[in-house]
Amino acid sequence: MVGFLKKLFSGSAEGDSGSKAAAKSRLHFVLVQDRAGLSSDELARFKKEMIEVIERYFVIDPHAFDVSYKHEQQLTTLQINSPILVRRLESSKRKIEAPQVGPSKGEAKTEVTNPEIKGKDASKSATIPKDENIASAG
Amino acid sequence: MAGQSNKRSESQVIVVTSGKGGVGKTTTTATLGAALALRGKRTLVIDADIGLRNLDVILGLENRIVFNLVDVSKEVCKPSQAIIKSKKSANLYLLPASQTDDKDVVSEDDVRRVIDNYRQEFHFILVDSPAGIEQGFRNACAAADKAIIVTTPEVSAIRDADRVVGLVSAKGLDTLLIINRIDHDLVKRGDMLSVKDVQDILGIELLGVVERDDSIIVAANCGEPVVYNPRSRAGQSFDDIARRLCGEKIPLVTENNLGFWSRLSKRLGV
Repeated sequence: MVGFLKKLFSGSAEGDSGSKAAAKSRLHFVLVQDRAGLSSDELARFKKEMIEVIERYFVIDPHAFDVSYKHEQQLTTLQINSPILVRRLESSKRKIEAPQVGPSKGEAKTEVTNPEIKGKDASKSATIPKDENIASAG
Repeated sequence: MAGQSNKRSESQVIVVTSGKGGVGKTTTTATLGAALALRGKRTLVIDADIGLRNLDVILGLENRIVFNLVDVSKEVCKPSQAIIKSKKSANLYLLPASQTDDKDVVSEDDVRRVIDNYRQEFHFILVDSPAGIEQGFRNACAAADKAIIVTTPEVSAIRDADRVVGLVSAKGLDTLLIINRIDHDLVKRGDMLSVKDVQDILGIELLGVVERDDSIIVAANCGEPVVYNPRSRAGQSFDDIARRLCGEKIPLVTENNLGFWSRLSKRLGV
């Protein structure tokens, strides 16, 4: 009897429990994709253009390029995955190698030979053995 | 043909469509047509579901068919010979579909030309669209200025309705929504999308809501639209919809504003 009365006087708030919540969420997911409406032709064009833009700045593997939708908490985002191999310099279109860590032989050589060159002019006989030392060390 | 003064202006041509099959397009076309006729509006309902006709059966006119829409299009008969007056109302006429052809036998231009024959004679022309979004659907939309989108509060129906809303809006048609087979108890229990949910999702103007009602099944069995049954809740809803189409402001009944006594009578099964 109490249950019956409760039902009679229950408020008009609609429950979001039950299967309706699942229906709403799933519907939201499919509708965003349906409305985004990229046909397979459009999707192929989109990928091609995106790859072209990214390749102006980075070297990538176009076969690893991927586009997908991610749906979470009523928000749908476009996810683009593009593994980057190396950064590309725009002006020279040349790859920049990663710099080596620690002193390089080349650098040391430069620092040492400069004074030798000066010394050479002043006194030829004195500097020659030092050059040889460096040459043997290099 | 000379028209009377109240018919001199052109008809409103409205396509009734949904995308999904089985949500109530034909029932809506027939019942809304009958409701408009009962309100004094001369109404022609056209079955555009060539090859799978059903509007005749819902109206109980299946044994009166001589000519059909394809015959009019091919000029096999005069336009006036193909329309059938309904049994219960002098204001309601049916132009049936052909049952032996398929949907490619007429083009959009053909359908426009057929409908032009009747524009001066009727206040309302309702076109019952087939399910889907192919040529039959395109034909049904061809001459329309407005579209009524019918959906039920279910995921697949709403998804299809959403697609159709997009297609129909792209054709420049005004869109109106009818939500069919709502069950307010299921909505309250959280097991059915509410009127507001469906409205929010589809985002078009709501024309009316029809509850799940056994009297519709009985009406279909007998070939008498439910609007002729004064005790039918669905019949009431269709009458409200007809009145809204005629410009009257009838408030929508939703779960939130169902009065205490009607909720009580529902619970007691009255």
